[in-house]
Amino acid sequence: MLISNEKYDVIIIGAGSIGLMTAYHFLKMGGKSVIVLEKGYLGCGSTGRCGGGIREQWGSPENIILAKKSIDIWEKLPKELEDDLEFHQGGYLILAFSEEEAETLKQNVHLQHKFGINSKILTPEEAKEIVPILNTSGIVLATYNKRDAKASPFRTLFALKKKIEEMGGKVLTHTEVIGFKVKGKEVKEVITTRGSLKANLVVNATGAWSKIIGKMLGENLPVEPYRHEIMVTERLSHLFDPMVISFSKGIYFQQMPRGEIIGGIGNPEEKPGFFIQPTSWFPYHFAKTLIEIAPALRHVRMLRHWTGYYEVTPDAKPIIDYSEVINNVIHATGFSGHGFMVSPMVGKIVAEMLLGKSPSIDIEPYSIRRFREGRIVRETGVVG
Amino acid sequence: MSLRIEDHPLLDFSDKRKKPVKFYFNDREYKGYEGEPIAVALYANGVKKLSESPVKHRSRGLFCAIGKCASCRVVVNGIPNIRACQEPVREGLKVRSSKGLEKLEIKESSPPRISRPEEIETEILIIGAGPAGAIAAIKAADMGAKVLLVDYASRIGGQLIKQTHKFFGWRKYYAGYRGIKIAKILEEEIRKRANIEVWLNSPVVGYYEGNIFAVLKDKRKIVYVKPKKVIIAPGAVERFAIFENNDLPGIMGAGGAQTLMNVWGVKPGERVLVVGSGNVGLIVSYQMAQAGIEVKAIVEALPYIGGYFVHAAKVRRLGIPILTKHTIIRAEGTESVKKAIIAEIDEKWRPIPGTEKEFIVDAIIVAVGMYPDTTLTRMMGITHKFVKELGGFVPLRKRTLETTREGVYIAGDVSCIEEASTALMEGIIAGINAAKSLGYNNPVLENEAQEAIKDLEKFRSGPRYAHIKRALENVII
Ligand SMILES: Cc1cc2nc3c(=O)[nH]c(=O)nc-3n(C[C@H](O)[C@H](O)[C@H](O)COP(=O)(O)OP(=O)(O)OC[C@H]3O[C@@H](n4cnc5c(N)ncnc54)[C@H](O)[C@@H]3O)c2cc1C
Ligand SMILES: Cc1cc2nc3c(=O)[nH]c(=O)nc-3n(C[C@H](O)[C@H](O)[C@H](O)COP(=O)(O)OP(=O)(O)OC[C@H]3O[C@@H](n4cnc5c(N)ncnc54)[C@H](O)[C@@H]3O)c2cc1C
Ligand code: FES
Repeated sequence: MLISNEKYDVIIIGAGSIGLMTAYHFLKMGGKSVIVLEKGYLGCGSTGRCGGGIREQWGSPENIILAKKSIDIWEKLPKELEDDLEFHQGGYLILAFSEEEAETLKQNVHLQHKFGINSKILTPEEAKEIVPILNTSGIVLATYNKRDAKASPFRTLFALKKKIEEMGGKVLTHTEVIGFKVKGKEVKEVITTRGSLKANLVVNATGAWSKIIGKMLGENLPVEPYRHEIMVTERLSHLFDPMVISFSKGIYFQQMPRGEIIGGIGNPEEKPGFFIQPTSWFPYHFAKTLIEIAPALRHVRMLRHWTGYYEVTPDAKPIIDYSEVINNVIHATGFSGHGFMVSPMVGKIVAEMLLGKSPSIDIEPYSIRRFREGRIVRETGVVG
Repeated sequence: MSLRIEDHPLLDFSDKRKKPVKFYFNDREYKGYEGEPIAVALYANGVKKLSESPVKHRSRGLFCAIGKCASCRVVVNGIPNIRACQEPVREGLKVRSSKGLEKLEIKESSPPRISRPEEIETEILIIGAGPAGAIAAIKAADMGAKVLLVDYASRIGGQLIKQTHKFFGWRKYYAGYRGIKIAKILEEEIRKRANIEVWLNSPVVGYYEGNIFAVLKDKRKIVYVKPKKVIIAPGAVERFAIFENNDLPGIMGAGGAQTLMNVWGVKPGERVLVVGSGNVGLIVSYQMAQAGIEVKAIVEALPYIGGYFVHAAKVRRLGIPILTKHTIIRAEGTESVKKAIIAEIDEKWRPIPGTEKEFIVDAIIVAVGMYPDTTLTRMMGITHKFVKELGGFVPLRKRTLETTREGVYIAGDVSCIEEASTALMEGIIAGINAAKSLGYNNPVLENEAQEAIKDLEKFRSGPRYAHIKRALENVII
């Protein structure tokens, strides 16, 4: 099917969690004509490959605010989208393996409390009560927040697409944006592999690929793709509720409502670039680290192992900003491995920007300018 | 009641029944033989239901018999999700059926030590030791290459180890011998060659960056294999038929039935209905009759018999009716199949009301075709194309059988669902060309590869294969 010369108020590039949440909020707030363009199938990007973890236990105000307000929205989403999304608030248990790490986690909890988050500091024994398969040796302390959650990325994308279409929006898959027709400082047309579309406003929600879109517009976005590997096991009856993570070991794992365990570990040697193949490094390092933390899981078989990209910025914090070179483009990218959890609030903010409203939170901390001006403080709460 | 085959006109199972052992299933004691899979020992004892599905709690039992479907999950000595068709019986083993999702008994408190997988190199890795992979190994080794041949089965021969009938085709490609005999010949030839290493019971389970294959050696230990060239010969996967209650224990594919009967000497049932009259359906029916099983009928949806006339004639001579323009519409039973309901169908394949017939059976064997097993080639990023005549998605390939990825060759049913003789021809072509690309030369063998290319052309030029020959042109690059 070819498309040509149709005109939309808003064209969103990328049908991942960020693009679809934006379209959904745009329509919900009264926006009318919106189309989301996706180069592959629904879920082919990072969202469809991610771990589905959602937490407000972060180490910087920027991420805490986005995550907290996102969980407020997540709590209502299953009802709004008429799908349970496998959304479940089983908490996050964050483990500290050294005094230094314990200190950072304590500071994070302190900061979280300032924003009204009910995170707690637990002894290793208290942590074991929540996750009975935990091996407490080596654990200095843990932090826990019951409101943290998980959801199925696929269920979320499909439910969003359905809702967007019901509300009069469009989602077009297998349609890649390959260029723009720019006049002065405005995009007039978006050129795709299936023809061109006219638009008033354009959103770049292409995650790991957003730098490429930036380049097409003559703008340098500091977002690099980093391969990240993840696996799923066979199903078991309910074993433990929270997502368990360790920043120092780079590991996270959780049991989904259907019974499978999903988890990943970051490879510190990973270089930026579009390397999609799984590596032989992962299964051994993941298994070894996993059974140090939860020895009983040695009896559970890994079923599949795949990869996706973290879309990483220099400070591991997002970019939500107007383009610096083109007047009618907004970038929402650079979530550095946690864009799924914050997508509801990001979608809402971008929708507000599209509708000419002032964003309900201050977006200055998410500006592109901060990198140029050297105002960057690295997030400490990144896993993998 | 035992379903064990005691006397078979062609097969001898005594080497698999050396040491009787006792084990427990749901707290009842059963007898089996050391080394045979739990599911086989239970089936022999008439126990067909092994587990329940997690959501609807439907009965599940042995289905593929080769570790691929997970419908035989049981709990063994407290460890859940063990495939009963893969786990050998041992004295005193405590087995329990799986009821939906199972608990993990939490016993471990300190982490066990695991070691980093060993990484080895080889010149040519061949995956699958069916006729295609086995002959490829022999020819590549004769060219001078160092070969590692891996297969998850416990013997060399692929489908051949389950075929008691004599194969058709050309003498040059072992026609006239029984399948089991061809497998023996290939095995002997492989054992003679010092530059072929064979790993049986060793599935290839992963493919990683840097051309690394993960092999689960002896089904115990991951070994990373880094080959210079690869020949992929994993054969085919069975299709299944859709009808009500097609998941009841006692209903299985032809492959599962053959594994039970011809590898382990256990009958799939006493009274059986077969679905599908292609060569596989006809041969399985014949083999079951040979093993003393009553085959009630073969149902075939097409208006004609799918397989060769000779096979159909053999089956008919035994008095087994072949009902064309019929299909199975339902199976009945709770813990295992008890009845099969069939009906005649119209030109649009709809059952005609009033034509239903009932058969009292304890097994239904489904033989409705196969498709190429492209799990590995897809994982490797090789380009595929859907070609119906070849069985589904198949990898693109050169005439030398090299795929779109340099150094990766295919041979046998993975390239196109055909026969043992064509699998052998393709194995010869792939084996010799892979070795040649490593710099080995041997004019006589290279000539043999050329001959095999010509033989393939000739074989496919008969009217029966004309459609395959035409379709193949779409996948040659
Ligand atoms: C293994 C792994 C585990 C993760 N775990 C978590 C987790 O537990 N919790 C969490 O919150 N986050 C997690 N993340 C991060 C999360 O997946 C991403 O941050 C998030 O999905 C980003 O969403 P997005 O919509 O920006 O990007 P994407 O989902 O990648 O969507 C962008 C889309 O744009 C499309 N696109 C790109 N270029 C073009 C073009 N030119 N034309 C048209 N379409 C285009 C892509 O195909 C893609 O579908 C994980 C990531 C990985 C890889
Ligand atoms: C019932 C029946 C009767 C037949 N009768 C005839 C006949 O009379 N004449 C004739 O010419 N042909 C006949 N055939 C067809 C013939 O058997 C096949 O075409 C032939 O065996 C294909 O050879 P192959 O080497 O490609 O595959 P296979 O023989 O299927 O061998 C593939 C091997 O690969 C192994 N494997 C697969 N995946 C992996 C993995 N990931 N890791 C490790 N190992 C793996 C499997 O264990 C298997 O041993 C018959 C087939 C059937 C089922
Ligand atoms: S896995 Fe055991 S029967 Fe299929």
